[in-house]
Amino acid sequence: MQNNQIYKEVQYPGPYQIAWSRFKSDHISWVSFCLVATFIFVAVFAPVIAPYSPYAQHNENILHPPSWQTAGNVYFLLGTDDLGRDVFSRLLHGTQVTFGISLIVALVAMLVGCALGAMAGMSRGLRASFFNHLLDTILSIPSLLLAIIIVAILGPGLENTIWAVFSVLIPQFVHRTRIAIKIELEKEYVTAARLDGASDFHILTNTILPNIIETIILQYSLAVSAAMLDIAALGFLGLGAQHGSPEWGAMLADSIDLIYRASWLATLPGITMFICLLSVHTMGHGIRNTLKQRSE
Amino acid sequence: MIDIKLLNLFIMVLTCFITLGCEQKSNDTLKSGLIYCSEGSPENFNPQTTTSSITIDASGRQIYDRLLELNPITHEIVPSLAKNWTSNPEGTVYNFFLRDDVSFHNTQYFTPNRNLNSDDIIFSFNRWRVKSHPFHDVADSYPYMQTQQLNLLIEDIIRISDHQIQIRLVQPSNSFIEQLATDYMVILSAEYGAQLSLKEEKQLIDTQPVGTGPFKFQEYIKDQYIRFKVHENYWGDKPKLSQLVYDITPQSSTRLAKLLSAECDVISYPTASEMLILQDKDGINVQSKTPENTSYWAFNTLKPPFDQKIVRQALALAIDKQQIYKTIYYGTAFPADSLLPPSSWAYNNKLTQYEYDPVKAKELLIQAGIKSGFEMEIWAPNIERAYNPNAIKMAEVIKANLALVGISVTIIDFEWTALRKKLSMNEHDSVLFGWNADMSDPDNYLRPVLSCSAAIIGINRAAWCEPKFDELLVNAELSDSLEKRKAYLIQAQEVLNTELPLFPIAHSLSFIAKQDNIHNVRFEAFSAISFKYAEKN
Amino acid sequence: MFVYLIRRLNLLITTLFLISLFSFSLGHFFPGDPVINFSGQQSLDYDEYEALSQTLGMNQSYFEQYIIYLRRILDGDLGLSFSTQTPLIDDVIRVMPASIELSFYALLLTLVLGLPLGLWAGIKQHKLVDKIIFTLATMANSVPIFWSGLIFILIFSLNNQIFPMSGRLNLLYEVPSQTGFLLMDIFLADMPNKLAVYQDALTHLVLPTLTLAILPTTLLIGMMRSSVVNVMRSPYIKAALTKGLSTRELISRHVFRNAIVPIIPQFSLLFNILMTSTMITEIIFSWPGIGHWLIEAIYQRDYPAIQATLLLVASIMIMITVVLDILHMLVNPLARQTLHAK
Repeated sequence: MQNNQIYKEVQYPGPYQIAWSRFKSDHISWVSFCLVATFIFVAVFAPVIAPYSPYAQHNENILHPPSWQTAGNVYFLLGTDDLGRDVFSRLLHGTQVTFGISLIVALVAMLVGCALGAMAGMSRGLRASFFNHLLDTILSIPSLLLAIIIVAILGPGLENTIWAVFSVLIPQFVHRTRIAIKIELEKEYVTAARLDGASDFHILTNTILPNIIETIILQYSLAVSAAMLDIAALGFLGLGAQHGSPEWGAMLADSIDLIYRASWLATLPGITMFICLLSVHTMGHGIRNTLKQRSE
Repeated sequence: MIDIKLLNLFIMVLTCFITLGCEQKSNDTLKSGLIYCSEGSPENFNPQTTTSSITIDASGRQIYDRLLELNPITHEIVPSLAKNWTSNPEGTVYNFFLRDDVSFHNTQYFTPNRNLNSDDIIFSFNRWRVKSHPFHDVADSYPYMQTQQLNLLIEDIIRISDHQIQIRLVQPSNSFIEQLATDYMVILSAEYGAQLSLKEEKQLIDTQPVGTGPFKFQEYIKDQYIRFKVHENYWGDKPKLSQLVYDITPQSSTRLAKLLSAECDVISYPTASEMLILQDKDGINVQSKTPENTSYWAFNTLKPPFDQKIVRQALALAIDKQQIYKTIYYGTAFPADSLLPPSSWAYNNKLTQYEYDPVKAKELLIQAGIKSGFEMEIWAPNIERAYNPNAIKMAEVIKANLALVGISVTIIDFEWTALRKKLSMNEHDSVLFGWNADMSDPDNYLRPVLSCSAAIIGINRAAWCEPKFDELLVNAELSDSLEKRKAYLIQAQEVLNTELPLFPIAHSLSFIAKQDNIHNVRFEAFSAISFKYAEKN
Repeated sequence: MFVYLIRRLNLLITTLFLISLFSFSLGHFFPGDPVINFSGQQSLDYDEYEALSQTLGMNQSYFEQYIIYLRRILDGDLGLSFSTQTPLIDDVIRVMPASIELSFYALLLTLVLGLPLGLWAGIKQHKLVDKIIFTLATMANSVPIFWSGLIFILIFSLNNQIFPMSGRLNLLYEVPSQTGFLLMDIFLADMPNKLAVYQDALTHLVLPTLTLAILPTTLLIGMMRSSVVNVMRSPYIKAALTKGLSTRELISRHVFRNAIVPIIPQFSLLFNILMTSTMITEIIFSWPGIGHWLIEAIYQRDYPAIQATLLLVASIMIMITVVLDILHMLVNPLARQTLHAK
């Protein structure tokens, strides 16, 4: 049998590569990954791709239905709203607001939350116990209620919503990380590392972290969808993004008055949001599955 | 666990069975009651204490009667609690003869022992007129009477007999008789007042009302509903409804949906964008009211930079009103050039218009020393008003317009009562507001909205007090001929147009929509909604 | 056992303490004067203000203020509502039962749908049924609740007038409120046409209950499924199978019970979701419960009401968590063991 390889070494894929190829072979996860990537792309480049400004009011083109309907207009792909604003452009910008902000807020919350969680997880005694109770308290309050109350203190507005969502997400990360670390700490391989004389910090970064990354990633995907839902819900209730902002929840709230005349104004943001949430969920699930298989 | 599951299943099946298993019986409760889906929660149930039309709609024509009424068709003043009246030739002394068969509401909290007599009239008028009246301080102010200066106009009210009173005026007034028929001139029960004084629960007089009107108050849960029951001993034609419920539904789309799903019999103020659907819909019809109102954008003239006339003018020039008519009113409004509608006899048709001109607006701003624009807030009520079907959307249009001249706008929407409370503290930059006229007299548009007395009691949304303007109004009031009066009022409008404490936007038609089986709901200009004659069949 | 209860009780008390502390601090965080925020009194003259400030201990240390606040709360004094100037506790007593009623039916529906479906999916893991149930659950989980509510209204109330879309009852029916739970009140009420009223009340319940149940159901399906999968892998199931138990017996005797026990603590998450969804559902369907009340309070900048809601809702959630924990321990001997081992 002829062997084309010059060197005898065979390159074995690393664990992450295996996980990646396995992830790719799962069609549903792959599709959802592509969708999420598209959403991220749109979120970043919305101002470039969008044909119009989301606030531009085209006075002559009010309440155009989407272009595939007979009364539609090709220049406004998904129609226009009652102030003549292009729905397509607004949805693209809405991706930036609702989805983009959620990604970033969740990311920052993850960094802060995991750091705190690690500290809590590695510590013991009275301090840890107090910390536990504090966490239980915060987690006992439904996140939307907490966000609503924070907005009530700070006043309505998108910026305050972001702060509210941010502070709501952190405890969840702390909680997850802390529990994950606690579980890992009791395992033998950690004890082994400890017997080798590794410091706490070393154990945390080199030994434990790779093993809890799956939990953190899953929590991240949950956090992104939670952030989206909270931002949109606050926008819908008129407490978050201002009226007229292209934020999806606010768009939905603005269009309810027109639901009989221009149902696309209510359905399109809803569908977009549904697709976005679905792909985030599915992708998170896919990642968890592959990582789980890896660890098994 | 299984057992619990089975139990759950059983309950669900039972639920389905009950839901589908029995036919809807048409019963009297549903047939003889009417549900009116209104747009907001009233502050209380006494029109004397407010100019908020939500409060007046809830109480004015349901709970109370007035001495006189306005015939909606002929616009004549007709008898009501007073069966007739006389006046002296100078028009300073009026005698009113009261009906003797008028009974007050018999409710859970009050049982009347006597019919209406002169004491009740004096009690009701003196409440807002005389500072020493035991109930005067129960309310913060009596904005309508105070801005119309009725408290100053009336010199005295004298009880001639049980059923005759005499009202003496300081000077003759063109509009006095008409004033008595407005929503604000309600008659309360003196006996009920005495009962409350005794119990030291005076504040209840406005929240647990007693009147002589066709419906009596039963129950009010804020943000949810108001329940009225028919007044069985009503002195006039007995109302056909046995029960009247105001279902408080702030969002107009919800109101429309509830009308379409037959949960409401009548809804208030469907937005202009919904009118087309309603007109096409079978089983639903629409009733409209002539545009005796003005919607405006008021600037807080106490706050810089809005204290500068030139800035206010620049803001006005920056607004594309045509777009507002198209996108907010859908053609159901007339452009407003003045605070007065063109139908008024004192309307000034020679005012210089603020045509949309962003370039000139920018120049004016520079002239005012503002080169790089500024930030401002626009406050807007989150519910529909007769004069403005969607203030928040309007604010969005204005926001886009102002962005072009470098001004960035933050829109702040408020619940109605909270908005009114906040506005009276003059913390706003500007607000989208409006005024519903209570009578055809032009004074009714000018004085309650912009006079100094309105500014003092906090209902002047521009916080604007211009002696020149007030003087013109006083001169108009005192002039003996219509010509002279008109001349003064035209001048007053000119002052408004150059000073521009507020920018008039539109005079709007307003609507209610109802099921086809509802008849005779009175929805007319110069009056709150009335269900006195309403029928359901 | 006893030690365990003490520990839980300790957790409960500490958490309640922290919640009350948080709620207390809100009075200072909210814009405006703390005296007014705490009492809700709006039209005060100078003397009244001073007197009130004295009773609330505003010139004393925060610690003493907190003690006074706590004492007021335990007396049931939550202050006055800004917008109505009536005691908040009355409002709460009025709106709370409506929310509890709605949540209760939604929870029933969740259990009735979620447990069997999760069980089914778990038993048939990786089969078609599992995939269908799982896909549906994921999709349902991704629908924002405010959107699904709107769609339900559009389909069931507007296009086909099957169910009403707002409120608990046709307002023309006048049911005196005795317990606050509508179905109970109708039962107690003395009125004609009771059957028609019942029917009306039930039709009003359908859409909100459905909307509210979606999210918790998908969650429960997920929990139940993974729990069942775990149980199915365990040796005792194999043992039972080899003993020749029929599938039905196997499921009812072994799988269902053993799968449900470990997820009991997770039910608190279920309640959390339920609570959040209740707020939005109540807004969409104009359901006169605490969520609707809270949102109105926020629109009206009614700070005492917001403060009271936070305190109550968080306390209720914590109590549910603790009760579930104790329940879990009662039915699961394993949990007791691990605790003692600690």
